[in-house]
Amino acid sequence: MIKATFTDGAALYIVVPSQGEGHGNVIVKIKKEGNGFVITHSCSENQMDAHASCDHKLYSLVLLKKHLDNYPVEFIHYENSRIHLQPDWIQIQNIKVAEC
Amino acid sequence: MLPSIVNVAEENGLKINPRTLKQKEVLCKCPFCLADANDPKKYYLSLNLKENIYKCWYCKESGGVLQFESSVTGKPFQEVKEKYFGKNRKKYHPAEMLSPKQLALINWDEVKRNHFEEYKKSLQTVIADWKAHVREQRILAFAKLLIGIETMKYSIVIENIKKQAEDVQIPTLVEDVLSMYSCTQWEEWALEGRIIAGVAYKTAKQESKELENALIYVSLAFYQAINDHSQQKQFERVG
Ligand SMILES: [Zn+2]
Ligand SMILES: [Zn+2]
Repeated sequence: MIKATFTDGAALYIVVPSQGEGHGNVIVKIKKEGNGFVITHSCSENQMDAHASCDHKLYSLVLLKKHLDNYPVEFIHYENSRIHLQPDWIQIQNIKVAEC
Repeated sequence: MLPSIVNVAEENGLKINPRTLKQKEVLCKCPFCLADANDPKKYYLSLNLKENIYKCWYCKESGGVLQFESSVTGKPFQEVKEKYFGKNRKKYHPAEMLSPKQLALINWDEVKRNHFEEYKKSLQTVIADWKAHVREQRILAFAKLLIGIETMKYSIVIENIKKQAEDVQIPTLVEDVLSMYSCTQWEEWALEGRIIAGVAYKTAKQESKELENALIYVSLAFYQAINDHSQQKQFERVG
């Protein structure tokens, strides 16, 4: 599930629960770059390989598919970097995606 | 060497009543409450040159010269202290890094002022008290953050936590809770905050179906939890 959605004007950020034991979050940054997208986050699954599959990636893809008329896009790059919630981000209505 | 409090005021552009410049108490406009801003004749902030302290007669904001410079420049107390005393002059106990305002919040300011030897011997306790204070405030702020996000009031809750950070003298509070929120494995204090947010959420839902005022219930749930906790401690002591 997507717990919350934010934007800083340039990118979209979704908050997804981390799959680990206990509680925690992973924040995924989805940014359009030219004709493609860059998806950035850091979780236990993508530590070694930025392209490893995980729920966070899955949600991002479902979200893109659902909301882009011209999906598939030209490219999707994956990056491994930890994203921190920032005080100046704007919270936006969660995008309703059935699969999430 | 400590700077002169009047120099600090001048360097930071505070408006001084020129007629008081040669007096024991130099008066200037108060940058903290601005209560005298619209009356050209009034100057509420008094600077005592001899003791190097300040006090506003209106808002009662007061302290020593380092606190003054820290407050008017917005720089952390420690940074101002290092500006005049250097960084590596001496190894300080972390408790000695606490500002007078921070000490006041955990009720150690008076001891430091009047019973310095006792204070010096109690540094371990002082820092433990400070850590407990920080932990408690983080729990409250984290609960607010969760409720704020849940009710789509992120910007409002951030402002609220910024205000809290100022009140409880924890400059890193916003950063602390945001980075914990973004963490894959929440620490214990965050989990406690989560429980409090849960209680607040439930109460808010019972009271009104809209979650408009859920934030209010966070403080309520928080003080309830603190209360229960201290009562538990008392029981433990009795037992
Ligand atoms: Zn992931
Ligand atoms: Zn004042």
